[in-house]
Amino acid sequence: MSDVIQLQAVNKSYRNGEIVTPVLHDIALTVAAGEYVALMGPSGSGKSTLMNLLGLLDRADSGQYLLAGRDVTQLNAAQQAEVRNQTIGFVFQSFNLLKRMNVLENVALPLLYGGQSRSAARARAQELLDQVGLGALSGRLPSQLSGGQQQRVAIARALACRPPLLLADEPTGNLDTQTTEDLLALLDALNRDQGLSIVLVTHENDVAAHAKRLVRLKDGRVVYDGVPGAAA
Amino acid sequence: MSFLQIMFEAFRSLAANRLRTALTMLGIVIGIASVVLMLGVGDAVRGFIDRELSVLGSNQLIVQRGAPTGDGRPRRQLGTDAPYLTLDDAQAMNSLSSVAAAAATLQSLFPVLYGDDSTQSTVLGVTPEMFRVRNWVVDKGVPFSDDDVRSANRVILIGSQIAEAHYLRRDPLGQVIRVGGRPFTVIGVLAGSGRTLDGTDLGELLVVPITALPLTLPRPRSVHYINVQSVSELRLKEAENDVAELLRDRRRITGDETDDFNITNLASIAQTGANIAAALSIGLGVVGAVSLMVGGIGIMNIMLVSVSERVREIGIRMAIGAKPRHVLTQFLAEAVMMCVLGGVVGIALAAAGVWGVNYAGTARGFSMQLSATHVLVAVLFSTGVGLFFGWYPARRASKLLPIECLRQE
Repeated sequence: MSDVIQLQAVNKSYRNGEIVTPVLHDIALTVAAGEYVALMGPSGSGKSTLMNLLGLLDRADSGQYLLAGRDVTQLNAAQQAEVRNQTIGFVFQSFNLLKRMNVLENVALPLLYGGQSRSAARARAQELLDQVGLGALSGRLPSQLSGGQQQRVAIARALACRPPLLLADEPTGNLDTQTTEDLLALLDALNRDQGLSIVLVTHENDVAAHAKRLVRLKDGRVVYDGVPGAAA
Repeated sequence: MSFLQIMFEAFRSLAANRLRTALTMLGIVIGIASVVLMLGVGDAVRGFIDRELSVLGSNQLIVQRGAPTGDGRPRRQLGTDAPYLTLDDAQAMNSLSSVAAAAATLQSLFPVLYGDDSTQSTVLGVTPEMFRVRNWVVDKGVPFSDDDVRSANRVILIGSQIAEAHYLRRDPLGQVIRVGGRPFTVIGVLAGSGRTLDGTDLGELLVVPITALPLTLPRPRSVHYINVQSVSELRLKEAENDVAELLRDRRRITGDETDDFNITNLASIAQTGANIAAALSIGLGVVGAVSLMVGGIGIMNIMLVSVSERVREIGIRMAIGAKPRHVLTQFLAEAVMMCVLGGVVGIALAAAGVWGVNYAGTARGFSMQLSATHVLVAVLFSTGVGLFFGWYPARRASKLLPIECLRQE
């Protein structure tokens, strides 16, 4: 099977006036299709920056990025948006649902941006909500849901356009233990049953244990790449 | 994303901030109301004057005794001891080459008796030239002739409203009307109705041969006015000069003696009216333009606030696949919708204004309409304002980088 992510010699630094802070050094990372990777590291290690680069929310200073076999290094803003829409699903720590829209509309939104008709988008959104166990709550506003439910909605939204890759940035950071377990079980199932590639940022070993591979960053470099249990 | 979807989202977002939206729209409301009223007033006044001039003709002079006021306005005859104009003056004017027709007129209030109905009405005594000068059309029957004037025949023509009021089911022709106690036989009904610039109401006219009017004046053959029509609009000024010269000659006014008569140009009265209307129009136009400008800037300002308040929302939308043009249209749609809603309210306000004007003005022969063209212009204008002032904030939103949006709390 082909690789969903191929990063080569990626560098990124932030500039604040005269001060340049290097964040990522010469990162090389390959994620095969269907892999489940946990990304860990202390704060300031560059894991969030790396996720932003992987998600085409930010641009690398140098290096090459092949996403699902396509070179996405030089895309313009509109092309990047299309890739984010079709190829990547995002799940954030703070859920990031649009608060004025109900649950169904939130899930349907990426489909509308993807050019689907309103009725097709709503039908697909309902199907996704059923899949994450929230089919009955589709008319509610996000504020009327618990944190765990909101995160499930966010996962449904991330999967709307059937992307091959899910990027989850501390998805359980705002959830209690039981809800965390439920959510991770959902991600496990998606990875196992649908072959969805997942890259998940976390700083909890319990969470990382769900992944089949652990990548540890420190000071902008990959310092460990192996099975989760053996992490030092 | 479909147009409907975009509009729905824009509406929802505006509805979430009702007070802010309403206040922001206010400038547009006032601006569009002013613009619609400006267009309406301009049209109405132009129509009014055109109608007047088409009835009276734009080549009309009114000559009366009394020194000119100097500002071109007609002067009241009372309080002057200048000698009356005469039938012979009118006759002499008729032979001027620049004059198409000159009609002498006497006018006074009489008790008028239609069978048993008695009223007080103004009755005009005129020479037959008056029909030509005023474009009076005889609907039924005939106008009177020079013979009727010479013989002082007691015949009368009546306006259409009088005919309707008093002879609903009878033929008015041949009926007898008593004017000042004397019997006059109806020989014709005049067409048309409505007030004209000189204050007469066509439908209410009572017209008899000038010599038959039972009015005693200090000297025989005296007349109140002479209505003059020049041969063409272009020769109106020439006719005015010719008439003045003729009268100075006949009344023996020489050198720098002041005239004891005055000549009023009806077109110039109409022109004065048109100028006032134009000034009003321009005034409303300026108010409209300034309001639209200020309102537009207000919308731009609020849209900039809205963009910076919703940076995170923009970031989320971009993350899930909104392209720059999606973000652009979203914010532009909000600005345009705000303007169009404001425009609609403004049009409603203008409609209320039009209703008010008509309520007060119809009796005076003035009415205005809210035309479809003006409404269309207003809607296009408000859309334009929305696009123009909404562009910059929307553009700015669409240029934001997703990572920077998402970092903002």
